[in-house]
Amino acid sequence: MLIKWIGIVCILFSSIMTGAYLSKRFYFRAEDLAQMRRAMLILKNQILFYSMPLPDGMREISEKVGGAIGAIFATAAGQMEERQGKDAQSIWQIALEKEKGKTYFTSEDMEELHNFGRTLGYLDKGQQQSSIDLLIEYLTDKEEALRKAGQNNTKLYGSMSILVAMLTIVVLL
Amino acid sequence: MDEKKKILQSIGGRLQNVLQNMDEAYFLHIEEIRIRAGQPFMIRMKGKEYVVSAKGELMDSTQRGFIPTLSDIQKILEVLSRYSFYAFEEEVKEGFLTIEGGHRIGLAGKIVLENGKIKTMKNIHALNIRLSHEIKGCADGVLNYIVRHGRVHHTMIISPPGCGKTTLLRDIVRQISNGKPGVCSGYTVGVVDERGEIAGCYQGIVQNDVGMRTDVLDCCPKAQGMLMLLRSMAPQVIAVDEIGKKEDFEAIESILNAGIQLICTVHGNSLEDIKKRPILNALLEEGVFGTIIVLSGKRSIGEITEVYDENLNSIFTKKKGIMC
Repeated sequence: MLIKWIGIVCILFSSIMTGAYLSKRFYFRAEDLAQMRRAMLILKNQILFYSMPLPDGMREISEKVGGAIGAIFATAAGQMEERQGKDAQSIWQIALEKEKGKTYFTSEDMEELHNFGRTLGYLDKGQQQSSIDLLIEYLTDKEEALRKAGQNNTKLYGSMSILVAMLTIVVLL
Repeated sequence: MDEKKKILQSIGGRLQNVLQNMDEAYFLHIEEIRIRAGQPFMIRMKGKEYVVSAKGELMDSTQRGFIPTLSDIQKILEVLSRYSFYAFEEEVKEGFLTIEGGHRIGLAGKIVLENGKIKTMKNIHALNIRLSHEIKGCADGVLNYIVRHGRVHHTMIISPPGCGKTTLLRDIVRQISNGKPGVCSGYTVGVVDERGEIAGCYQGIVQNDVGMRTDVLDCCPKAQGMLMLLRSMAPQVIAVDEIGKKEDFEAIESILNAGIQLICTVHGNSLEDIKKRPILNALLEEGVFGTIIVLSGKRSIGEITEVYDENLNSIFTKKKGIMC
């Protein structure tokens, strides 16, 4: 009997935790998008007002933003400072791929970030600003949508996890 | 850091691989790297032009070497500008950009105009990378003509393009600024570096050694720069490269009246060439320039062929190899 109760508790616990994790994934992704948006706003500021070289700008962003997003910029800045003749697009791609495991970005987000990398390094101020604005727009829209959907999803995953746990327990009993 | 490594770090893409294969000794002597989309990759070394093969071999200019593409040029620009082409917007309007190390990159492409003024350049299809080589001590031979009787004389350096006048001017500035025992004590020197070639400023940092008492106005029009220095930095000597415009001479008049010594360069093959230009001739006839140095690239770059005094008498000639 005791083993049964332990099993029930385990199923309930793991199911609720899975539900909580799934609902939090939206929140974590929204946080990553927000951090990336913040990084892009800093980058835009550095380019427009200070004409700061990209490696220096990325290094500064990595320190200001920190976390997984900061790590992307730190890796890119490091590669640029090494000056091995790679173009900016390749460096940005390498940084994204290296750090993507630490982020909650989806393949759609990654595609947008890769597209942004194609415009890095050779554009003038106006064009570079447009390219950053385009990415900021995507990041803002996605983040807003996720935050709106987030509350509903939290309730949904919460209820679903309990239901799944109950169902599993009934079936197993 | 050795020259080869420095140059390779500045050039990206396929061209980096080509240069990687080149003999290390060549890199000390490369003066220009010419990259034109669809045309052979060329370098200029010791006054001679060579085509470079994909394996980094030097060939004469009748042969087809490695052919760069537009994409190669875009990648090179990215790396040269440290992935920050946007930071060079003002310089691109002038048709060149100066990179770390003081090297100057000439650009050719489609000019975009706005209200009749150059806004930017796009579709850049040709680059001329002029490598800045500091030759410390190259002014040793002429310093005694510039500093006579314990004071710096107004000096004009006459030289055809690419014969080392900027290199000579830079070393004169350095030596006058630092001072040289037995020749002169240090002077406060103001440099108007319109094209960023003398001091080679990059992100506000002077890349070439122009002396400890030298103030540099980077990328500033010469006429305005001379007057700005006169008003703000109290220089004893002002150095400018390639004077020639009418407004330059108006500014020169102001600095001469202020008792500041001028060291300048001008394009020309000989003193006779300069005499044909009315404004310059007027300055020569007034005896403004106490020292006139003529450079030539006939036998070797930076060869000093003649030095004249204020009365336009030759005080040194290379042909005789002695003081006249």
